[in-house]
Amino acid sequence: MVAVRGLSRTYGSGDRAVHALRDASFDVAPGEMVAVVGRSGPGKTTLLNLLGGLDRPDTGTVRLDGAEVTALDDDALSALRRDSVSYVFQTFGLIPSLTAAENIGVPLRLRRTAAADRDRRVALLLDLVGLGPHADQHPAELSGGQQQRVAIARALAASPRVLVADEPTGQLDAETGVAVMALLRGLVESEGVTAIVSTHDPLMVALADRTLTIADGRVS
Amino acid sequence: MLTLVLRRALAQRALLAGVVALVTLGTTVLGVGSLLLDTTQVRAFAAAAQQQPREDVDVTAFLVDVPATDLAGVREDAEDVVGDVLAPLRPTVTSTAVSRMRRTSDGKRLAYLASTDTLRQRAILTSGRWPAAPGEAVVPGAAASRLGLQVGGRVTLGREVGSGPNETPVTVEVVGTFRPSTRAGWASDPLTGRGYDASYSDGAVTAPAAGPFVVDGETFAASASNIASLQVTGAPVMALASDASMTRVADALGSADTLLGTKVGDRVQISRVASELPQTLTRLRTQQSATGSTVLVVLLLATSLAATALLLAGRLLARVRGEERVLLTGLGLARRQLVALSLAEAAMLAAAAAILAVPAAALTHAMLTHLPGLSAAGLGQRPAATGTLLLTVTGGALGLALALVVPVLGRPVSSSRAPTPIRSGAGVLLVVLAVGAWWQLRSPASATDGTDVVRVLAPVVCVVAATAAAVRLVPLTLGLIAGRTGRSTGLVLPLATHQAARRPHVGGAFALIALATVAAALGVAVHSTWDRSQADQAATRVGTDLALRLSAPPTIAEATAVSAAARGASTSGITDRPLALGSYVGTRGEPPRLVALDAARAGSLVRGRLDGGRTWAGIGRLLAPSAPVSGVRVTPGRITVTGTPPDGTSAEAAVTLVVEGPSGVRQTVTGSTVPLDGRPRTLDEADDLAGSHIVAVRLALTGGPSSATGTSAAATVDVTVPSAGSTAAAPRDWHVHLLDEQDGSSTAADTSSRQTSGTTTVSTRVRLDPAQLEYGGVDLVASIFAPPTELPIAMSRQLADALGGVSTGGRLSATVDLVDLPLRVEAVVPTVPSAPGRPAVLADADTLSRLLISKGQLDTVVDGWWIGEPQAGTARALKALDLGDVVTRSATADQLRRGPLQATVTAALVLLVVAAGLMLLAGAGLVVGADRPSRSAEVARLRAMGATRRAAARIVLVELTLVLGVLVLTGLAVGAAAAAAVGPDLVLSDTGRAPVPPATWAWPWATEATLALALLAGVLVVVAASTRIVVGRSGPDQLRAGDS
Repeated sequence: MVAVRGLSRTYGSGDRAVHALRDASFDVAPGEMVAVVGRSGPGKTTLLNLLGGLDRPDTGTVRLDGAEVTALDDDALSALRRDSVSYVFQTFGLIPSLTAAENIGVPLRLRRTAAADRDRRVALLLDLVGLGPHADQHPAELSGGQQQRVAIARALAASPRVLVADEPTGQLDAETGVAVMALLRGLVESEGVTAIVSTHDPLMVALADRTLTIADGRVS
Repeated sequence: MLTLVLRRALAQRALLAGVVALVTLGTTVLGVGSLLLDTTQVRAFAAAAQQQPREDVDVTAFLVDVPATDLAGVREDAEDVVGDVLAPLRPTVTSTAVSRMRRTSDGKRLAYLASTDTLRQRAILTSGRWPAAPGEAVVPGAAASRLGLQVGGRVTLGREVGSGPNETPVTVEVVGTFRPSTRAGWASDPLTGRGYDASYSDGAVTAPAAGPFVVDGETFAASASNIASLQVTGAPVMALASDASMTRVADALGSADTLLGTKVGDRVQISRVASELPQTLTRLRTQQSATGSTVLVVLLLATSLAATALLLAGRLLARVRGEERVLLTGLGLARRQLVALSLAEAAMLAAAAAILAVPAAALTHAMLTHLPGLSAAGLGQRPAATGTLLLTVTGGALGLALALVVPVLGRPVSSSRAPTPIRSGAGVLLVVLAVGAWWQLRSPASATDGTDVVRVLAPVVCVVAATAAAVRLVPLTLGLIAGRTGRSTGLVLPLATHQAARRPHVGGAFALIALATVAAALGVAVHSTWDRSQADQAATRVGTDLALRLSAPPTIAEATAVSAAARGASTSGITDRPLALGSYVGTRGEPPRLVALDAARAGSLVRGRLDGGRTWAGIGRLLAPSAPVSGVRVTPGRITVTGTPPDGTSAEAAVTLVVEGPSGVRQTVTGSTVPLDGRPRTLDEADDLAGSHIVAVRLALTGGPSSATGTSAAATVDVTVPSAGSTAAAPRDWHVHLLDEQDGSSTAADTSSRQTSGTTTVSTRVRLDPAQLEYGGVDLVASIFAPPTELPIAMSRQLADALGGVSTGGRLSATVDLVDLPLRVEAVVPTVPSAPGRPAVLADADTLSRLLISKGQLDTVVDGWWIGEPQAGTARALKALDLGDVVTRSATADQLRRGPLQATVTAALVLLVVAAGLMLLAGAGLVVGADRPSRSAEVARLRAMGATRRAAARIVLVELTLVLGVLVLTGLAVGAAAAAAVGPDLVLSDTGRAPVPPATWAWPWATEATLALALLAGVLVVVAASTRIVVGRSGPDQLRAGDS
């Protein structure tokens, strides 16, 4: 499903060069949930950004179902993220001026889904994340956990093959974090999505099928 | 602490640079405004003072009845007084002395001498030369003509009339003739410059009078004439005039009468010092104040804009520094320390802005004063930093910079606050405030020397409140648009409209952008309204396209010359005289006026707005006579008078003809008294009337003792006119009217005409008591027209109100030239043309003339001419005739627009529009700039969700364009409403009152559309640049950013 080979990314140059990734290579099988752990630093986020084509590596390749992501142009990468790879951010990344339902509908609008289908899918996802009664509320009116659940629902709206989550519980209290992780795990299984999740949370690691550790830019 | 301020400023230098730019812009506007109100107004006052006519600033001492022996001493004393009064303006003092009337050599007429220093400034030489040696004199052409004087001829003036007369005759040689060049310069002449008066009366003596015989001072003194009037005039150097110097003169005038009286003592009968200078000073101050009020309104609007911009900047700064503030507070920084920190920063920003604003304001002001209108008015100035400018800019910069502190006083701004819902209570309050301010403006303007604070504040409050209220509807409008796009499948438009409709922290930004647009649109519309009002005022003030105001009654030849100069344009002789209506004589300096013209041509002649869909042509039809007058046409030849007296009585007749020239002007020709002895007597005075028509004949019959025994006898007078080839009017067309007819009198008369080969004879037969000829005589007028019973008039609304609500159909009695006239009100009009806002009546000149003739007042009624739609060059041709003042509607409008005291309005409005445009751009830049980090994060998230770079850019672009576009359109709508509601109230006339006719709002579509496009284009440039930056900086690193 996801094949990473010899992936390297360095920020800056000379003495100030930061090697975020050094020759990383690994595979992720379809439906697998992988936790990426490691000390605070640029490595985890860099890896996740490279997987969805948000950033370009210095060397190495990322293949998704055999297609080389690192060779795609900007528009193709946009299409890839629209159709195949979704993100969940630590800061939720919701658009403040849109309601919960409208936020979830954004990826569907990007795919130009018909309004009726979009409404059905949004309602389904709101129910899945338990926010049906909060559909018309704006992010500022939701708790952190609710916002992250909206972000997860949005990430799943376009039925992606790969879900990339960057520290999804990083801004949540422990109790809420557990609930969100459980939700994420359940949805990954029910939707058949491959998930790659960076985290510091041991519980999240425990819920994952496998763990990748990044230390000094190297993945093991 | 200072280190923290400096380091933070360094880190936020871009934002702070924008803030400094805003403060600089605001204070520059304030600085320019202060210069417009200070140095430019002072300069405008001086320039306007220099343009005042002499008669409005001269100071004149009038001294009546001065013995010849006291002339030199009295004149010296009067010169001292006048010189002292005008000392601040270094006057040139001149004098004019007029002798008592003297009998002419035949003893039947009167004549008088004069000596003046200003003859050449007040008269135009029409033949011969000016006096150059003792014993030489010049006389008015009319006097020379009536006395039969030729250039080079000598004339002797006999003994003086009155008590204690000088019996020694004076002989002078006439070396030239002249005519007055101005009417005003001859106001104190016994014959007001007309040169001859057939029925002059000074109360004691009544006789035909001619003069003056203007001689040099030496000749005058040698004549030892007693002085009827001595006039000593001081002409100030108005280049030295300022408010202060004119005030000193006006103050000195207050005691000048007493001072002169003390000095001349009982050497004169009457002494008086008169001047229009105090009134001129008041008028100039009023004009200055009126302009100042408009400039102040503009400045207040600009200041409101700047304050709004700075409050917005303060909020944005507070938002950007929200986290820092929370941190500092957490570290134990007290609220007052936070405020002190902000104050220190505000002071530094104010200092930076002030340093920039002083030269910017001086330069901008200099550029504004070099705009064509201001430069032409003599207001062009070089850049200069005055004390007022420094004070204004420093104070303004501090005040505006303090606006940055205001948000710090409140709670920290939450970056993720939900959009503020519309608070209907505040909206209603704003609407009430706007309506209240508008209502305040409805009250009539009163002319004051100072600025009416309410009238300055009210429009600003109205505009700002209306804008704030309207802005509250913008989110609703955007919400409606968002609702319409919500069901579409795409992302760009729905997301952009949703974002636009639900932007947080929008109040200040929306208010700034809308208010800037309102101010710019209002500035353009008010200028247009003001400009249109000046044109309307000029039209009403002149009354027509081109007006010639005669300096002396016209001759038929002059009337013909005027007609020729008009070259076929619609032309009418006009009457413009004071009148009294019963006991109503108007207010001081503003007597009711009678304006008469050829009413049948009113449609093509009269300019100025009428109400209720009426037209001047329609009003003219109500006033015009049913048929024109067709008199007896005179062909070359002699006019003779043949008469027979009543039996047993010797009688003579004084015949006065009223002739109408080809141009329609009527003139009197007074013949010598002829005996009624059955023999034809030639009227020598009427030897050049060929081409004219005789329309009336006045006969004054007198006689000696009668030997007749009866009380009824007949006298006949035939006036035979050469009229070869013409068709005489039928006998029944002549009407005769006895003047001074007394009750019970048996006097009766009838007139008929008959035509023989080459002549027409107008025969009048009078049945009278022969004794009547000896005691008073018989005076009658025979006319080719029936005497009108009433004069139809259109009355000004002001006069109708002053008379207690006279309405159409009402009848009044008026006195014109001491003649009682019955008036019939045919219409009430807002104002009579050429008499704006004054009590006045409009009538037909022909009907007026007929009515006056029928009452024995035969003098011409023509005081000037009006010309409608004149051709190019007509004004120049009329000026070349030198008959009086030529005034055009366009020149008057130009004067009103570009007069020194008015031109500043244009500069202020240009300043407002430019400042508003810059504020709009600055505000738009501030809004999108402050939003940039959060927008970049949003774009990064959209990109992470699969939006292409183009789609993300379009979302930002559409959203910002929609928001700013709706705001600009809202601003234009409010601007149009404000222009309609308060625009006309910002226009004051140069009298400081509401203009006449009232100003009507103008909305120059083309200019406003251009302005809107320019504003939108400017906003789009800001938006496009911002979008480019937002999208360019939306990298993956933004994905971990919060929602701030």
